[in-house]
Amino acid sequence: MRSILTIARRELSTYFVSPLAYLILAVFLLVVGLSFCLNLIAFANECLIYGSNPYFQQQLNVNEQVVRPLFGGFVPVFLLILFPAITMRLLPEEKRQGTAELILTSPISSTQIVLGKYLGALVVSLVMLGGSLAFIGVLAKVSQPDLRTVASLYLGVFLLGASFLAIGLCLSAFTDNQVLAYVMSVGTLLVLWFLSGVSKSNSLNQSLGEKATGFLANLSVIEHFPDFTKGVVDTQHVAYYLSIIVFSLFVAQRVVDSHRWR
Amino acid sequence: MIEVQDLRKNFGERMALDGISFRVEKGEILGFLGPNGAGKTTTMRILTGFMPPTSGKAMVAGFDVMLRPREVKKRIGYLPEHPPLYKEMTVQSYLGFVARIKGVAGRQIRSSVGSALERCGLLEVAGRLIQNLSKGYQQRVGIAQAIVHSPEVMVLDEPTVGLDPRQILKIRNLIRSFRGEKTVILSTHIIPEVEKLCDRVAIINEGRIAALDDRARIGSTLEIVERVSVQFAPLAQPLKGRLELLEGVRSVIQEDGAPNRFLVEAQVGSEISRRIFERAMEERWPLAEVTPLRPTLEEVFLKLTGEERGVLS
Ligand SMILES: Nc1ncnc2c1ncn2[C@@H]1O[C@H](COP(=O)(O)OP(=O)(O)OP(=O)(O)O)[C@@H](O)[C@H]1O
Ligand SMILES: [Mg+2]
Repeated sequence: MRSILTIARRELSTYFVSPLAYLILAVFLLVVGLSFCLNLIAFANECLIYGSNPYFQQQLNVNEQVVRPLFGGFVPVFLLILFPAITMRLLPEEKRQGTAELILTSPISSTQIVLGKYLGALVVSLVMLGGSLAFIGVLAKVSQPDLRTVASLYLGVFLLGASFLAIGLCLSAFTDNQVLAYVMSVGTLLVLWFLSGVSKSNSLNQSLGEKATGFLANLSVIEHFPDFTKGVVDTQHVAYYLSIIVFSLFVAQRVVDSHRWR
Repeated sequence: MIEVQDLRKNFGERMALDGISFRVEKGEILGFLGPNGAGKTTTMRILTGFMPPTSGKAMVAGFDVMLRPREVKKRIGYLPEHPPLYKEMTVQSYLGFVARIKGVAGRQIRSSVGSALERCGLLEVAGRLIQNLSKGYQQRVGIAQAIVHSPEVMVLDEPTVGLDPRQILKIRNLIRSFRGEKTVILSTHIIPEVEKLCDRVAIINEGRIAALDDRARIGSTLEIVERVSVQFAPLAQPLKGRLELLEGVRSVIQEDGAPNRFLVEAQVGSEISRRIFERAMEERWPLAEVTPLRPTLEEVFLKLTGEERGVLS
């Protein structure tokens, strides 16, 4: 455990001396902030227009219209593009600068190396999500967002991001080229994403059978996300993300280990 | 302390190691000498558990490198060919990190890092970013990294590369100070370095150990040629012709600037010194001095690693 923390701490210190981490953080907050502002303004307008009408008033709901869409719409796609930039350097950089020769000849296991790196990336994503809580803070000043919905929303985004990071780390183990690691990760995530489309396609449903397409769609990373935004924490969805994470980290560990014994 | 048996390593078709065996006793310093591509780095990488051999066995401190890699790694300090530095860290935090992953106890990290900094002459740059240091200082950080956890065994791949002459002396003194206490394997291309530093020398060529012996004896056991320097009394009539007639003599060369001094090379086993004495007695030569010459390590090296083969490989 100590070694995992040592590796994670070193990763974190590297992130936060490089401009990349700040850039990622800034872009993330900008985009989420934009999404928040637009929703908030739209909501405020609707309140102004319909607020006096008792019938419509019931339909006006800050959770529905501001909290839920915070990570809705295009934001998950945006995370898909942003998160691989966090993981792309994790393993390739070690090989490129020759430090792999240091860590692989140290008395630590490949599992500890992979978990340490993953933990480092995870903390970066937590900092990002933590930063975005400021928007909820602002909202809480002017309204009463439902904290249960907020909690489940953030659990969902956290799990989604954590899966992206695990997949990114896993693919970064295969190469010593950062750009390649990034492109492979985004590509893989996009494929996993668009699996959600197969069950909606009639021709595919016919040729493969609904069972098969349903199964494929179930593998999609985004298919399991929306329920979280509704304030529903379904263990099936949690289990899905956890298994993606465990599987990716397992593969990453195998690949790192095979480098040692090639 | 280190025992290697019939180590082989193939990279695909290419054979890098072709049956290497040697032993290093505790407290000894062994030098690897060999041309580029001989297999020095590969041997070290196998010993440190960075890569597995294709076949063969390596034991360090009583543990098999393949079966108990963790035990071995705890006990080895390794300076790879390219110092493994995280350039964006400061020297001090980098060494702290290495000490931690090498398993130094939390309380001792400060003092371990402090003493490594001091021993490698890094105190004044401790707070600087590694990327801003000169090549030589980066090399020193690499050496500090290899000793920070006080390992029993040290494997140093070309430790003095890129250092200034004063630093080379310091680092050599540092390595020498480990003699008797730690077991060291180092590789180098600098022949005087081996002569000054190592108890024993292994000359590696094309993935094989071409010679392995004590530093002083490595020449004589190789028996390339017998060589003596002969000095006649001044003003004596030169006797070059007479020397050439001796049995087993291959060449006689007059030494530059010394008209009465000759370098005699003879076949191995011809006991040339004794023959010269005997003949000198018989013929009453005005002999002043006969000195047997040992082949230098440089000659041994060049001989064993054969220029032509080296170029071809
Ligand atoms: N990862 C690798 N893949 C393929 N071939 C390799 C690899 N590493 C080393 N070799 C080959 O193995 C042989 C031995 O290389 P090695 O690096 O051990 O030589 P060396 O004695 O350290 O040379 P130098 O003095 O130049 O450092 C070389 O022919 C080299 O090309
Ligand atoms: Mg080498």
